[in-house]
Formats: sequence, C-alpha cells, structure tokens
Amino acid sequence: MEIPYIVNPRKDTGLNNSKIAIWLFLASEVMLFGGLFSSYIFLRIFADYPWPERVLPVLPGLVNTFILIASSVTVVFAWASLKLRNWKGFVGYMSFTILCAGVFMVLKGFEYNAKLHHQNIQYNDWTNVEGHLHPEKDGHGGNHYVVKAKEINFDLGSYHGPYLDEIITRVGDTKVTSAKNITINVFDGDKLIQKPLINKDAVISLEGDAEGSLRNLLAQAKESFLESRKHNEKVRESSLRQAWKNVKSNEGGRFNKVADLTQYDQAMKDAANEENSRILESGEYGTIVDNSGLFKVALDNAEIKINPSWGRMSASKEGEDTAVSLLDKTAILGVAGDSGMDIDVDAVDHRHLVMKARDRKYSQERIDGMIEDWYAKLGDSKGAEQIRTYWKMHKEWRALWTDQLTADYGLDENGDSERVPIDIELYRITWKQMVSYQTILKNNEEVTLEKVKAYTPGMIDGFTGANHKKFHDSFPLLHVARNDVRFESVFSPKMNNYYAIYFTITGLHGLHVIGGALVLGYYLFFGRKMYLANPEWLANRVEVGGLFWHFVDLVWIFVFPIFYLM
Amino acid sequence: MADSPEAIKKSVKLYTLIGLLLFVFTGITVAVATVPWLDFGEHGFDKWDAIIGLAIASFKASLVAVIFMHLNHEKKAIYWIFLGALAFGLILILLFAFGFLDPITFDEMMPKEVTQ
Repeated sequence: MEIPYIVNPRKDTGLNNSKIAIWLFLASEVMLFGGLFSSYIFLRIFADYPWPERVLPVLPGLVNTFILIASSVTVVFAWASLKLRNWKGFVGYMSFTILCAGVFMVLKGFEYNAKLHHQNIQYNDWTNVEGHLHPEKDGHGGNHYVVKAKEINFDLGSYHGPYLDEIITRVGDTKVTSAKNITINVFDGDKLIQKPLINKDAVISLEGDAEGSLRNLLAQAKESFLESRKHNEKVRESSLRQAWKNVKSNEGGRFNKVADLTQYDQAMKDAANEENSRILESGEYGTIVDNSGLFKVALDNAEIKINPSWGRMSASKEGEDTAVSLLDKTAILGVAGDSGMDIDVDAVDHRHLVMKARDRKYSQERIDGMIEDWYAKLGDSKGAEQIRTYWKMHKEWRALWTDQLTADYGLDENGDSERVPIDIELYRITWKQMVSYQTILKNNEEVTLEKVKAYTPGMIDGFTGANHKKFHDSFPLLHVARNDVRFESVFSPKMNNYYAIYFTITGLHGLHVIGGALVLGYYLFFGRKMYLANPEWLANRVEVGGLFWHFVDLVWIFVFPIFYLM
Repeated sequence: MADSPEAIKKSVKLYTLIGLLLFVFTGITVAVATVPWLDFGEHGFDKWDAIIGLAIASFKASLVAVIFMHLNHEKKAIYWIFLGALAFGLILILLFAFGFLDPITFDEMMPKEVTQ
C-alpha cells in the first residue's frame, strides 16, 4: 500500500506526513524527559541524605558531550549532502555519526562498569567508606554472609536450583544427615501409597543427582509435596462445593427467619464450614494427606558463604546464633562466622553523620567527637592506621584551606570569612586527596596547599573514578565487621535515589542513542535503493531521523550539567 | 525551507558555526563549575551555579532546536505541536511543587536545618 504524502507536502499542513509524525513523537518525548527531570528535582529537594553533587568524573561526560554535538553536526551535513545529490558525502558523514554513537555507548559502558564495581559501606554511625572490595577467589568479591551451618531447611514448594547448587558447593566435604524421618506420598489414581524416603540420621550424599543424593531426595520430596498439594486441593474443593450445595438446599430455609442480612450470611458460612468438616471426616471425597513442605538436613558446622543479595542474615556478629533466610525460603541455621568485608578504601565521607547530627542540633564539638570516635574504633590494622593518618593530614589541609579562602575573599561586615569551605571539603577525604597525602607521606614532606594540589592526580588518571591499578598503595585495606554495617551497596540504583534517577535518565538516554543509531544505520546501509528511486525521499527520511538525533543531543545538553556539574 | 543548492551550501556554513559555538559553551559550562575564580555566588555549588549552568544549557538547547532542527523556518503545525509539548513538559517539570502542598509529609520531609 502506498503511504500518501511521504515526500510531497499535504496542502492543509504544508508538510509531509513523516515530519508531522516525528514532531508528534518528539512532543511525547519532551514530556517523558520533562517528567523524569521533575522526579530529579523532587528527589533532590526532599533528599534526607547529603546529595552527591559533583561526584561523577567530569571527563567522560564532557567527552560524550563533544561526541554528541559533533554527531549532531555531521547528521545535518549528511542531510545537506543528500540535498546536493552527493552520495559519497552522505555515506561519509552518516558513518561518522554512527561511529560517534558507538563511542558514546562505549564510554557510557566504562562509566557504568566503574559504578557497578565501586562499593559503598555505611557504618552504623552513618559514616560512609567507599572503595573496591578486595578480590577473593570465592567469586563474591569479598562480600558474603558466612554461617557455620547446623541445619538447613529447604522449602519444597520454592527451593531454587542455583541456590541449592551453591549451598552444595559451599558445604564441601562436611557430613550431611537427614534431620528427621521423611516419607513421601505416591498416588495410584486416587489411592495413596506412603513410602519411606529417608530415615533420621541417614547420611546424604551431595554428589550429583543419582539415587540417594540430596538433589534426588529433594526432587522426590518436591514431587510428593506438589502431588499431595494437588490431591488435597481437589478433596477440599469438592468437599466445600458439596457442603454449600447441602446447606443451600436442605438448610437454607432455616435461616430465612434471620432478619439481618449480615447475620444471615454468617450463619450460612458457619453451617457450610460445619458441613464441610463432616464431609471431610466421612471421607466421601477422599482424605487430606499429611504434607509437610519442609525438608530438613543437619550438618556439622559446615562453613557456608552466601551472596548477601540472595537473602538476609538475622544476626551478623561473629559467634552469635543466626539464621540466613534466602529468597527461595531456604533457611540456613547456625552460628555467624566472620562475614566482614575487605575493602580497599578510596574515600571516607562523614557528611551523612554530620547531617544527621545537625538535624538533632548537636554542637560542633560533639559532632567532631563522633567523627574522632569512628577513627578510634577502626582497629589496629595497617590500613586503619593509614586512614587515621589521612584524617590527621586532612584536618591540617582543611585548616590551611579555610585560611586561604579568608585570605582570598576577605571578611564580611560581621567579621566572618566571605567564603568558607563546604561540607564536602571538610568531611570527605576523596581518592585524589588520598593519593596526594600518600605522596606527601612517601616524600616525608609537610602538608601544604601547594603540595596537595601538585600531587593531585589529573583527569586522565581517574577517567572513570579512583584508579586502583596506578595508586594501589594510596588506598588502605580495611576489614569491616558485618555488624558495624548499616547498609552496603555498589553504586547501582539500589544505593540511593540519586543513583536511581541517574541510571534511569542516562539509561533511557542511552537507549535513545542506540535506537537513533539503528535508524540512521538503516538509511546508511539500505538507503541506496531509496536514493536511486527518488533522492528527495531519502533526504526526507534522513531529515526526520536527524530530528530525532538532535533531540537525543538536546536531552544530553541538560543531562551533562545537571548530573556531572551540579 | 530553502531547498536550492546555494541555500543548502550557505546553511552548511551556519551548521559548522553553530557546532563550534556548542563546543565553546560546553567548555564554559565546565569552567564555571570547576575553575575557582569563576565560581559565582558562595564557595561551592549553590543556586547561582545552578542558574548559570541551566541558562547555558538552555541556550545551547535552543541553538540545536532552532538551527539544527530547523525551527527557525518551519510550518505553523510544527510550532503548535512543539509549543504544546513544551507547555506540558514545563508543567511536568514544575509538578515537584506539589511536594510542598502535601500537608502530611511536608513537615517530615523538609530539611530541618538548612545546611550548605
């Protein structure tokens, strides 16, 4: 079917239909992103935590801005080439545009990757440390619940294969026995046959899924559980249907004298329940079979490590009785082991603590005392010592910085400094400062503003954040006990609303970049036929695709300053 | 829209110029946010930095919309669609104001003390 007015303008609008269509679409896009930016403003104004302002590394965002602007220019050049009937020019400019889209997404990937490998740990006193979890061989990156398991309860209705596999791997060579006698129900039609599955204290093999192995036993018990449940549901349903039938036909008239409708309903329900119990007891529709959904095994203190995102640990202090309940309702009972996290710290941030304390109207002395307390409780490890040294140097630096601001900007009419350091300077040790301080320590020098500035790594060294490869020595290794942790997360949407809206808006924008590149790529690779048939046709298509591309650029023009610079 | 080859060649020059302008203003946005002596208002980020940053962004965005997206010479229908979307977009952006009208959560959510 021929679509009308795709090249020639309609008389009433003076435009071809494709152009009207793309503008209507862009109109909906304006509102979509408008709504998202509104969420951003809302989340920022009402944030109950220090807003992470100017924390994203600027360089990747800046480079991406240049890339998108350049591609916006080349996409109009591609259109102009078509208008001038210059096919080679079109191919060149369009290829460059799509290349730009590719580079944009690659940089975005580096940024996301850095965020998703950057860990934040919030202490119970609201102090935050950031860094990289110390790599370990167990595949959890040093973040796991450790429990010395005495008993595991599997929920037969919902246990999850991969979790089971992980538990089996973790249990290793420890002896596993059945915690009780387990029988299974097998149905021959409606006839029930009960078969013993395993006796209490019988040893269960963890290898593979052959007869007698844990996987096999669980599978059999699960089948029995599901069959029994089906059977019981059938019995209950038929019985209840019959009960209502009986009550309505035989007993119904009896309640007509009850005037109040509520009472009438209740009386009917009671009668039906009574009748139901009678039918169930009589066995008219079969009997309800025993059906435990639990499969318990006993272990001899097997050390099991669990990925924290799989569940919750009730008590995390080493040596306490604890239960780890997984999302598939598996419960591991035992004694908490050392679930601490080893982290190469690349930032220490007290701003959340300071904000909370100010909310409670604590004095500055008390706030300073709380911060010192945190350092005092860090322990005696080499890393803890290093962090305390950094804090000492940071206090020297911020005193010098306060003086410098006063010297530069003078005093106001009240005799206070015109400009004072902001909280992020006072209460956060950034990774760049850590590198500076470490260099000063190595060179045995004094903390001065010039020295700190001179040793600060440049933009390239920290392209997507702290450069752990190059400045490994500057980032102290800290062991954080699990019971000191209020909240831990990588810098993903789970972290806080800032990262949630950051990933939402930049992710949606990224999808637009991919979508735009696909459309423009179609014109590049499959546009030749269209061009030969009617060059004006392809020119119009490219103009419409270009309009979308400019819109993607336009959104980024706002995203860049709002997320990276404010 | 001017469709003659001469007019197209002329507008290509304009596109190059606008592209350069966009590069320059991107540099300025970063400069006002990172260079200390270009820090307006108080020390660090505050409303003046927000206003200046958004003003530059709006200027850049309007350059893209007017020149690259040809809004400088479009038909009436496009203007109606665009202005309608802009109006609704602005309303959506201002919806956060309802947060201040909520009598239940307002007291709890407002920062108790203004910190910098």
